[in-house]
Amino acid sequence: MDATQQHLADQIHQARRTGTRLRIVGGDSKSFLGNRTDETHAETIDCSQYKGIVDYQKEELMIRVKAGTPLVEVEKLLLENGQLLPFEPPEFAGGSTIGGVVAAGLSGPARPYFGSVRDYVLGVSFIDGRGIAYEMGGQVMKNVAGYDVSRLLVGSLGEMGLICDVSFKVLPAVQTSATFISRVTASEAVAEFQHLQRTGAPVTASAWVDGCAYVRVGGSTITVTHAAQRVNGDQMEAQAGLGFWRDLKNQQLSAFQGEGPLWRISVEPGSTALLDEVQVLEWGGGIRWLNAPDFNPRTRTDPLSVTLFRQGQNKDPGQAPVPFQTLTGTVLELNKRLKRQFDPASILNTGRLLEV
Amino acid sequence: MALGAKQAGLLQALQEICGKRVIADEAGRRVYEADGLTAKRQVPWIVVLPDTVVEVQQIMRLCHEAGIPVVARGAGTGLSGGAMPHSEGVLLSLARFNRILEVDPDNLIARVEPGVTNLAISESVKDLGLFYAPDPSSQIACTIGGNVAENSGGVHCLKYGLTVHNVKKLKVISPTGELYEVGSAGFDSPGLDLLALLHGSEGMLGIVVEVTVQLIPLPSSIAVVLAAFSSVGQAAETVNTIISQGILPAGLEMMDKLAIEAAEAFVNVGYPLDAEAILICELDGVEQEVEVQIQKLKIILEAQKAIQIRVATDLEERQQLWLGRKAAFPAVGRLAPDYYCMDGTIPRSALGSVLAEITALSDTYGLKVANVFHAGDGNLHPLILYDANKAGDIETAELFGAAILNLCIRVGGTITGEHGVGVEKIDQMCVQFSEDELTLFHGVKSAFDAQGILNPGKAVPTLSRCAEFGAMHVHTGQEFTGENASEDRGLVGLNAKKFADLDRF
Repeated sequence: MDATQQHLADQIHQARRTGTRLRIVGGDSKSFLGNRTDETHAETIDCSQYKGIVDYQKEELMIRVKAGTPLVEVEKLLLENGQLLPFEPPEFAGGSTIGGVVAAGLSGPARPYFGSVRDYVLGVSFIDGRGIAYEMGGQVMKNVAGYDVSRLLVGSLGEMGLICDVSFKVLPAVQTSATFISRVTASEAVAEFQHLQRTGAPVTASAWVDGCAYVRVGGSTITVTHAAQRVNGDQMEAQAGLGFWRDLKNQQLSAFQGEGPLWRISVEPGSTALLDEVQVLEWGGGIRWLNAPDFNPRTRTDPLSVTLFRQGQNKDPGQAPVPFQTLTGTVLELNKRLKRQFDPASILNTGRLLEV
Repeated sequence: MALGAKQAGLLQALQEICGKRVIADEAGRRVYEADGLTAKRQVPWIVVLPDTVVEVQQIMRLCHEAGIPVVARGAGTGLSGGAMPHSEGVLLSLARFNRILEVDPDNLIARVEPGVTNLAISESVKDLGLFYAPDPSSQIACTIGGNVAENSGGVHCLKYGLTVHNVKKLKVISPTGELYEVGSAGFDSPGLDLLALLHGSEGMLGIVVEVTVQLIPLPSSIAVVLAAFSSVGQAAETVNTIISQGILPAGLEMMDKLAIEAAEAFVNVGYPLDAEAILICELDGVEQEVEVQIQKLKIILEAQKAIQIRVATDLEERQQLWLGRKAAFPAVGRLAPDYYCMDGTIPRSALGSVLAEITALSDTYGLKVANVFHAGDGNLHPLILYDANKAGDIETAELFGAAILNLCIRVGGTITGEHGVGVEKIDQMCVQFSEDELTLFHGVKSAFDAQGILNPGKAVPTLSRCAEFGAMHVHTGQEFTGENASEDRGLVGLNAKKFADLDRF
């Protein structure tokens, strides 16, 4: 443990003794995500100084990074070496750090075709709510010794521990990509996405925005040239294509803007749920973005998984929508019991993911 | 079998639930005494074969109330003793849960019961142009429920991932008999990622009763390339070069001279006998991409001074090249009366040095070793040859095995890549993890199973066991200071076993 890491551990240890709630922050670019928590007496624990590349083994397809390292730095280094983080994490407000990428567990446009953040996490070192440090997983692709605690931390919004170092599997970047745009309805777009995937087309991203389907294909130059004959629509100019996927990933397209709350809804890709109401589809139809003042996930009976991405304006704080579905039964109990095992004094980002 | 009043009552209650699907006679119970780790045997108190989810719930409630251990079992092909029964417990066989419930080709998923075999899933969706990617070599027999419990890999996981990457949703029964679901047919689920945590949990956290798997379109083009080398080091270096040059093979396997000779003598597929090592590399994808990759691969192999390169694209030729690899375990089994299969993972860059060290250890211990393994993943399967009838041979094989596992940890790897800890490697866990880490594992266990009735004594050692074992925790990448205590004592409970009958590699 280096001095910076020791300092973080000491801070948690101290907070546990005094019962002080901690708010874990890296770049603080995702403060909109998760439940609003009582921060009256909360202290901020800043991980941004715990940064740097610990190890990068290009031929191992492995990089190990300290949590406070800016995402852009990691992506830049990988790109210089012809590699990338295959899950294309979003980069909000310019400040996303690796710790936040893992704690939030958000993946970008490539997710249905290459996998999610947790699929690429090989190992995590972290400090729990007692101030104890752990080393879980490792730097090798196959490892079944012990429970998979590293992956449990992905998407836990800091409730289970303060993430220190993360080892990722990385992949070679595709040689080239091309994006095709065509004017279709949402349901036609989903059918097209499914057809392309079923037939093994080298699709690396798909979306539907404002009445247009967008399909990105990738691979060697010859692969992309052949794929162009299979995908409907007109090829976008390269820079415009890059810009589109970046703005989609970061919810910066105008279709995301609006005054009401912005919901991200995960369904089976082929589901017809909300198909006529949503503004944006991603992930072959599996993610749907809804900008609607009156949507209430708690009244839905169909199998949706929802996340609130923007509270919306003019809301009485008492009536602000709750950002996730409510957990119930055994699953709720298991979440609570695991939280207690990792953070017995309930001081780490408590309530952010799991309602108190 | 003399039963106490409590046991007699429980037996009767189980019979009321499952009728004749309760096995109480000794001959019947003995069938279940071991899994693939055949030398670790324990006859269970009782065997039950439930037919429905409700029956499993009822059984769990009964056992929970009575405090009786429950060990879940699929096909019993596991290689680490994870399904070894408990002498005072119920052996819960999920073999009758063998139906494929739903295939949804549009959403690329299949919903199956846990007793369905791995291969049966791919077979059932083949006509739709789909497959289920993880392919442990026991795939003809092993069940998907067991694959979840062990987070199984296989030849193709270099590109397609392990079981955890290919399962979307589970229905699980808790030790108290509650049915719950984790994951979803979509992409997100609320709360903590319990789906990931349950994978590889070796039957310690819950009983899986339904699995929704991800299906993948069959690649339109496949090529298999065999390359022969005049040294193991050169082959190992080539593995690294292939990956670092941006090629991601579907599978990348390596065999050393002893394994090549054994395979060739067994199935005669034309492997080069003058080679010290061969690599078998499978490339798949759209046709044009595979073409590009083959050319790229050939350039690398030539630069790495491969002494022979064979490219197979048609089905028959490809199968021919794979046949020797797939027959390698039974083939090595013909070289000696017994062999002991290890399963450690190391960083790929350490392949050359670790293989050289294994050769040196082979001289030290005076036992031959054959290497056939998933080189692309760094997942070693050294096969230590010995003769169980020869005095001291088993003990020497154990010591040799322990030395290999410690070597894996020392270079930054792990004691098990895909076979699990079970009972086999439980003491080695004391070397890989600190006391705090093991304590946290017990905390995870207690969150799911406070009473500890699921598969007791497996996967995670108690701290007192580690103290008794005398092993020192070794931090990844740090050197041993002298010989480690565990190396001196070997793997406690490690046993002679005959793997020649198993086709898993």
